[in-house]
Amino acid sequence: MTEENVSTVGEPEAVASAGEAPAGEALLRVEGLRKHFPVHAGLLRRQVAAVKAVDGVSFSVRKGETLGLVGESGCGKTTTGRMIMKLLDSTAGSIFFEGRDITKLSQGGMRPLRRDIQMIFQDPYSSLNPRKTVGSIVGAPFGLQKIETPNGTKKAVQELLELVGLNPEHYNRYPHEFSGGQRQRIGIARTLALRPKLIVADEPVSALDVSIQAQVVNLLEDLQDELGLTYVVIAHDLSVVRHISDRVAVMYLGKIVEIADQADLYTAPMHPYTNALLSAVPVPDPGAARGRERIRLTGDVPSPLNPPPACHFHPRCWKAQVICKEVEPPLALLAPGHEVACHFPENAPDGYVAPESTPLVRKVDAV
Amino acid sequence: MRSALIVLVSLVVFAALAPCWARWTGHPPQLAFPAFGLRPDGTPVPPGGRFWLGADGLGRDVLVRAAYAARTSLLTGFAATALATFLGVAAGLAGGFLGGAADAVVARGTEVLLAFPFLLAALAAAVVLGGGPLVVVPVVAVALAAPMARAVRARVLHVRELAYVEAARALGASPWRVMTGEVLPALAGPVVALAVLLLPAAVAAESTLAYLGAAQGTSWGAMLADGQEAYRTAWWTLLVPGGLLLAATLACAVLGDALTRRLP
Repeated sequence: MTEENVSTVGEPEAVASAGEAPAGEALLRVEGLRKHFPVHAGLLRRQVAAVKAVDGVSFSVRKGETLGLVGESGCGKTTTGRMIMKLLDSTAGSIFFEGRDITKLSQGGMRPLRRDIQMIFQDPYSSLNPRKTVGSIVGAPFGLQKIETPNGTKKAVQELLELVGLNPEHYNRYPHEFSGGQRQRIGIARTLALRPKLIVADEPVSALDVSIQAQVVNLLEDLQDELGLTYVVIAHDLSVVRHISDRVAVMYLGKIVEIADQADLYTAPMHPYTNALLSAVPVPDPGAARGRERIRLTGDVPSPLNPPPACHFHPRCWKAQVICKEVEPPLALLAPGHEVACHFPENAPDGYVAPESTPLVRKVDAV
Repeated sequence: MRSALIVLVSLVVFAALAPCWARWTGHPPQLAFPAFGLRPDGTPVPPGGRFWLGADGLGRDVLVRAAYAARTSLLTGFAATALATFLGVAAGLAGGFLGGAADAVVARGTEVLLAFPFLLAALAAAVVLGGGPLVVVPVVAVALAAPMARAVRARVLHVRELAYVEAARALGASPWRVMTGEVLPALAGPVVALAVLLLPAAVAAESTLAYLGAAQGTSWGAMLADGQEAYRTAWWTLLVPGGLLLAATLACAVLGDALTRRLP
């Protein structure tokens, strides 16, 4: 065991300033990550198809920043998170953590790294073992990683509980004695026990009441400032993502269609899908909502078993042309820090030349 | 639930007091008393007087024999249930948690066991290997392990996908640690409830083997077999062991049912 691993819990370390690495260095880098779930059929269980849950995703997360990963249900954002956590093996692609390729690490080889990469779970009800006390849940990481705490595990756990805004006296209580928001705080305390560098938060607030969501989001931000954490926040709530993220990646059917700084993405979205998503965000102001144009997409998200050719979004896109179903648009840097995978982006910067193509002829759905 | 517990505890006490019954009545279980136990026409004497629950066809004391038989039946039942629970939990946990080939073996194995005529196999084993408790208990246990393994496997398949199991993996828990520390405790409720439901099946299975003459020793089943010859003139030879067997199995069934509803 090395010295830095026995650091006391609860004492705010200057992690951010201690890092000698220049700002902007990638803590996590993902390249061409894919996850295909095979579909077997027949007597011989031959593979007949694959669900392309994640189909070539690349991004990087800088130290200390928060990357939001948004998209509809089934777009592969959770699968991506589980692959980063190595809870799920990837089909192809690479994951680099602090420059080290962790893609092929075994579960045993991954164990020491689990101190640095941790996860916050969506459901605060199923993510805490109902048969264990808060003390043993939050203290479990110390035992699993064989970390010695200078003042004993109980003290360390109580400091963690205090850190996430819970009463340390609740050490011996069971999860069912707490509300959803408190339970999520318990989960966050467990996540923080190992002092991770990177936290993958899979829908950290979507199971919570709206009034509690803000509290937990603010807690996550405070902890980031205090402990110098890096987050990958997976969510479908665009308002939450806007609040917490520095950069946002939008996923559609297993691919990233747009990735940009939070402010750019929300004020000048380029991909039509992002535009549609943003126009669907509820506005809690009837006056403003009335004057707003809402983009209604037709149809459903196609099956990842058999995604549309080239641009996955073209069957639902109002700007689609023939090229969209023939040539897949690459994720291209169209503005500083703003990458888009679209032939005909909205809010395109000056000088962008759209490819030559003919309009796509298709059935128009009767409305 | 309370009445079922009272019945079960009374039965255990009744069985535990077997030597006392023998001393108080002065009738050892294996000894026949043709002089007092049988009437001049050769039929057993009814309950009352020297024989509190009557005598059987050979002039033995039905009360004392029933108490000793309770020991055999309950002990065999408990032992077989315990062994079945252990085997079933081990197999179900291994199959459900490991998946793949191990799971296929467990799933097909339980199906074969459930499809196989238990009585035939048990009789064959008891006849070939002798009907001692060391044969009867494992034979009954293997048969009862199948439903336990099935239930455990189904539960494991559910629990291992829960987020708290994933959280343990994300913290770096080894598969063994996840299995024993997170999955196994979640099985306690269903396993206890099912074990209580298997207990009457084990008692009844032992009695069936004894009734058919395949298990040695004095048990309720053996008493029923003996009583079959005398019951026309002596109803108590069937009613006493039959009633005790019914009480034991019914109480277990009621208790198991209540536990199933009460435990998570």
